[in-house]
Amino acid sequence: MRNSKFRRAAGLSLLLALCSLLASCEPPAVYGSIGYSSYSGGGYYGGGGMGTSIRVGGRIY
Amino acid sequence: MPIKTISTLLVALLAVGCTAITVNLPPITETPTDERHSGKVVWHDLLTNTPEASRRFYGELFGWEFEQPRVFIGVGSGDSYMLIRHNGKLIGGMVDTNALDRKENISQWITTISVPDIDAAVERVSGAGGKVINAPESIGARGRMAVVEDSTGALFAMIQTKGGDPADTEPMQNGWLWDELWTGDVDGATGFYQSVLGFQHTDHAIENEDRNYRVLKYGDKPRAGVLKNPFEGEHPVWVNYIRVEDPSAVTAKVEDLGGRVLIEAQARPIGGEVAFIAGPSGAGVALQTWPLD
Repeated sequence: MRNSKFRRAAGLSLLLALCSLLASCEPPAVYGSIGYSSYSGGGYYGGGGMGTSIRVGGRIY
Repeated sequence: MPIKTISTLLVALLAVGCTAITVNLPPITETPTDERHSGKVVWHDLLTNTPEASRRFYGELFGWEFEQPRVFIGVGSGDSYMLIRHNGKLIGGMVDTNALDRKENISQWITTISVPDIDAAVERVSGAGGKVINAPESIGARGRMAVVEDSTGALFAMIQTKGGDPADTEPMQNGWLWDELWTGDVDGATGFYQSVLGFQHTDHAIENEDRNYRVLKYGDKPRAGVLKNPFEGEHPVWVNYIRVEDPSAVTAKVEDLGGRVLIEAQARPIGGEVAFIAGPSGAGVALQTWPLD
C-alpha cells in the first residue's frame, strides 16, 4: 500500500518535471535570428526633446 | 489516460528534442474571419529585454493588459511570450528576448504584414534587394510567418494567417493607428514593397509643409506611410503609431515609467499632434491624435 503511494507520487513528480522541461522550449524562434535593435544607433536618443526641428509623419487620412 | 501512458508520451516528446517542437501561437483573431487583407499590418510584437518594466510601461500608459497564451502540447507557456489585449481585443504580443539566448539587445517593435502566400512573398525578397532573416515557419494556429529586411535594411515580418485577418475598423483610443517606414531611401524602399507585397503608392502634398508624404496602398486601401528617416543616419525602422487623446499627457508619464521621450508632442501643420517615445528596453513607438483636427 505504502509502496503504491510512493510510486504514484514519484510518477506525478516525474510528470511535473517533464512538463516544466517542455515549457522551457520557447519562445517563438522566428525572432531568434534577429541580431540587432533598430534603435541601437544612439541617434534616436539624442535628437529629440523640446523645440526639436525633427518632424515625424503620421496618418493623414 | 493512465499516468504510465502519459509519461511515455511526454518522454517521447522530449526525445524528439525541444528544437523540433513547433511553436503554437493562438490566432490573431480569436474568432476566425476567413478574410484576407493583403498588405495590412495585422500584428505587432514587442521584442524586449525588460519584460516586466515594459509590461508596466504600456499597461500604465495605455491601459493594455498582458496575459499568457493558453498552453498547447508542444508550446512553451511561461512568461517569455505574452499576448497584449486592449479593450478585450488582442492587439499584439510581447517576447522576452532573454529567452532567445541572444547577447545583443534586439528590443524593438516588429511590424507584421499580411500576405496571401508567404512562400511566394519570401521568394521575391532577395530579388528585390532584401534579405530573409528567418524563412517561413509555422507558428501553429496563427499561421506561417517570416522575418525579413527590406532593401534599405528595415526589419519587418510577413504572415499568412490561418484563421484570417482582422477586419478594417475604426482605430481604438490607445490602440494602433498607423504604421510608417522611416528610411534613408524612400524611392528604393517603395520599389521593394511594390515588388514583394504588391503595394502601389501615392504622394500627398501636406499643407504648410515643404515635403510630400508617401502612402503605400494595396488596391484602394492606404496601409502604411514612408518617410525619409527624420533621424539622419540612423538605422531604417518601421515605426508604429498609437492613437492617443493627448500626447503631452502621455509623454509626461514616460520617464517615471522607465521610458524616454525622444520627440516631445508637436503640432502637425496638417492638424493634430504627434510625439515619439521609447519604452524601458529602448523600443520606440509614436503617438498621434486622431482624427486630424
